[in-house]
Amino acid sequence: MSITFKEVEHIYAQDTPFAYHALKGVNLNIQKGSMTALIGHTGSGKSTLIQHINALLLPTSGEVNVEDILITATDKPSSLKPLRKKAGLVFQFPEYQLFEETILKDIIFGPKNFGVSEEEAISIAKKVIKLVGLDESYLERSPFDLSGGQKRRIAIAGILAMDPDILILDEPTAGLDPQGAKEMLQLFKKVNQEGKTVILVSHDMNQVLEYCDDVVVMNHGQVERHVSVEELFKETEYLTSLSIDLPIITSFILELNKNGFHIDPSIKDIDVLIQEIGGQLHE
Amino acid sequence: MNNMMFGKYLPIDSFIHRLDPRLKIGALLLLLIAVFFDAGFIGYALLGTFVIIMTLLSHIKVSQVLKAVKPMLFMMAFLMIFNLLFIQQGNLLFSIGFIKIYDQAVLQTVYIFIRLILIIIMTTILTATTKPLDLTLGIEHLLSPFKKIGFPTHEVAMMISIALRFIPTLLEETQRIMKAQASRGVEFSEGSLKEKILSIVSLIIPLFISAFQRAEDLANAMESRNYNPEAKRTRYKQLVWKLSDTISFLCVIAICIAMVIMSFVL
Amino acid sequence: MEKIINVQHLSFGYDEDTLTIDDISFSIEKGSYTTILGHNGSGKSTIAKLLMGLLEKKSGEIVIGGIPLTEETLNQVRSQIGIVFQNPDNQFIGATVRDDIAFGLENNCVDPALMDDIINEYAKKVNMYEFLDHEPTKLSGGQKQRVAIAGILAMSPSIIILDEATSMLDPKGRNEINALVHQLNKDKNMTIVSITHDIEEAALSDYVILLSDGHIVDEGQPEEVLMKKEEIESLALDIPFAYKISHGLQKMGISIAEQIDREKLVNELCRLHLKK
Repeated sequence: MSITFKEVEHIYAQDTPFAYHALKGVNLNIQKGSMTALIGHTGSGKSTLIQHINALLLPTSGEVNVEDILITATDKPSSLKPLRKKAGLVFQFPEYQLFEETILKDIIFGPKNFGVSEEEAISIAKKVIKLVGLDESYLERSPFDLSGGQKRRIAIAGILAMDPDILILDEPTAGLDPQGAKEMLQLFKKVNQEGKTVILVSHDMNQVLEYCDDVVVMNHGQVERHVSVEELFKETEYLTSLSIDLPIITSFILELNKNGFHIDPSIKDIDVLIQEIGGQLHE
Repeated sequence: MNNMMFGKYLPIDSFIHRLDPRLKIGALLLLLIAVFFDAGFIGYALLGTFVIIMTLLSHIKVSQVLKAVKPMLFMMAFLMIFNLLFIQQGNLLFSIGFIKIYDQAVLQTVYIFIRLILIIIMTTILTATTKPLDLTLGIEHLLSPFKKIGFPTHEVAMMISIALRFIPTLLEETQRIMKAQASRGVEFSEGSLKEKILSIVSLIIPLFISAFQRAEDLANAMESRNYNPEAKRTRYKQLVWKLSDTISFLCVIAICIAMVIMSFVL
Repeated sequence: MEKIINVQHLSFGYDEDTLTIDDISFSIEKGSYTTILGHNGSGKSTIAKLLMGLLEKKSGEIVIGGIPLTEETLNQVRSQIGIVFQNPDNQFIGATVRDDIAFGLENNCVDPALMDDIINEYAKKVNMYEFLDHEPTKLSGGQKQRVAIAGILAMSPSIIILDEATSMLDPKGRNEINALVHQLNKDKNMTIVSITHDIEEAALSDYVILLSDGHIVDEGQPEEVLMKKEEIESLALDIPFAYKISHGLQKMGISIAEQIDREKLVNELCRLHLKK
């Protein structure tokens, strides 16, 4: 068991006229080592939910359990550091959190805050910078001379350097070009295959289909579905009601099936699909 | 932040809301001066009644006025204790050890209390009943005579309104960066002085960088829409001085004259 | 057809040594929907800023609606073009939707007595009429971009440039903006120049200009440009989905034309399926 939410409520600015009920009775259990997508439209509570996982927000009531660290409204863990190290959170547009004069210093900032020695942090930095697709020569450069996409890689390297067990990413590919987005997602998949739990907040259903195992759907502050990716995209009517677009490949298959084809709608791979269409045309 | 009442606009409709911002700003300035004339209790009773009437006319709830006063209470308490202890005029009322309290000190302290409360309430009425944009428009109009001596009134007004527009955005940004750094192990409330300085740096630098980025984007957006501070522009919001404004202004003048006269007579 | 934008031998660099835009020439037809396609850092946003006169070109010529862009004609040129930038927050100038639409009108010295009617008209056009007195913090990204478009329309330009205007929006906001822009292109014959790296959006446009490292690599109808697999892939872009399928089927020996339009492909496949 990795992350558990039990009857979690969150109300912003409680007892004021601006009060906003962002999470309503959330129950959720995210398995260790899974790659889970978190979807739902803007304002559905996704961002509030992920901030509970490293206790940036505390539940108004209910409890969150992150690998045996308990977070409730009243007893906040005595020190947040072990939790923050365990659950690395990458915010949307993380390039805006860079601040040191060299990339090296920025990457080791996190690990050093968690008590890693300077030398060890530097050797970690050398490893993670390659992981995000840049070479060691970047380490001495200023992060502010880089392009937007490169800055984002550095920011993500800064989180990976903390060696978190859980990696939470809020729209990590927003604004990136297709190639940049693909490389980023392949990186997260690799991190996941090395045993880390990955939670990906995304609006892009093509990404969800291609890279994730499970999906959590949020709507009006509640978790409405927690199913496998294949299961979710079978529920076309439900997704339409949330105005969530199907992955391009799934909607294409459904179009074909409406017109006489019989193709399994859970096909994820475009080459498999081509074979299938070709086969049905040859018969 | 959200609980603060002072300086916040209340989006409702009232007689005071409808008054011209130029009048409201001008009246506040005059009344602020009047508050400092020593017109005795009768004078303050007069001014106080006037302020109460204004509060009622502007449909601000008593609880909201109290909320505006609350953040200032600490400062007021400090000033009053200071006054009580250090003014040593008039008759000695009582003394405890080295603390001596004189009747003049009590009187002065009460005056200061009344003055501060009046100032806060009057300012709150202005900001609660006038949209920030109208406020800047009013300031621009009132400053326009200074244009002749080269004072950039339009630019100043534009700067104020853009600052007001971006305050919520930058507050949101601050919060986001704080959370991002907290996720990297920064604890803003704890740690040694050195750690505290580093945590502030980790907040300030990203905040400045993003603010400059926004400024550049905003400048591009404004220029693209043909903005040129030196060129002639028309104004969408037109200020119209109404009869009610003239009458209200005369009332304010009357109160101020009364205060001045009383301060000399009494 | 009339060329509304004509760019000849345009060069620009942010510093002395490197050219971000290197000797580019292209023209855009009046009333067309053109996409300028390129990966991050290809120089595509720089072109938008040069067209608006926000950056000073190093050499070359830009002619917009018959007027050469110079220091003197800046205002005339800008009155013909509106631009929607990437970040919806950083282009919202007014304190409310109403004030924001008014901003451009004020700059163009429109009579204040006429402004309310103009504001109402264009707010309705972009479906933001009920939000006229809302502050920007209470709007979604898609709504803010719609306000930006209303502000531009109110100044009645003949060209709208979208500088990655949907890349920070969620799919709902993106669909709203795309639908609105396509409708403007049809109804009012507005010339649209969309700067993007979204290949599926480019597939739906009239003309594509493919950009890489400050050079034009290719240009033409999307059916021509977007089907050059190696070229597109070498530019770190994606190939249209319909092309991947039709190309793959062709390789399997099925007689189907390579194409980029998904709807047409579905129809054709179904036709083949029925004939079988």
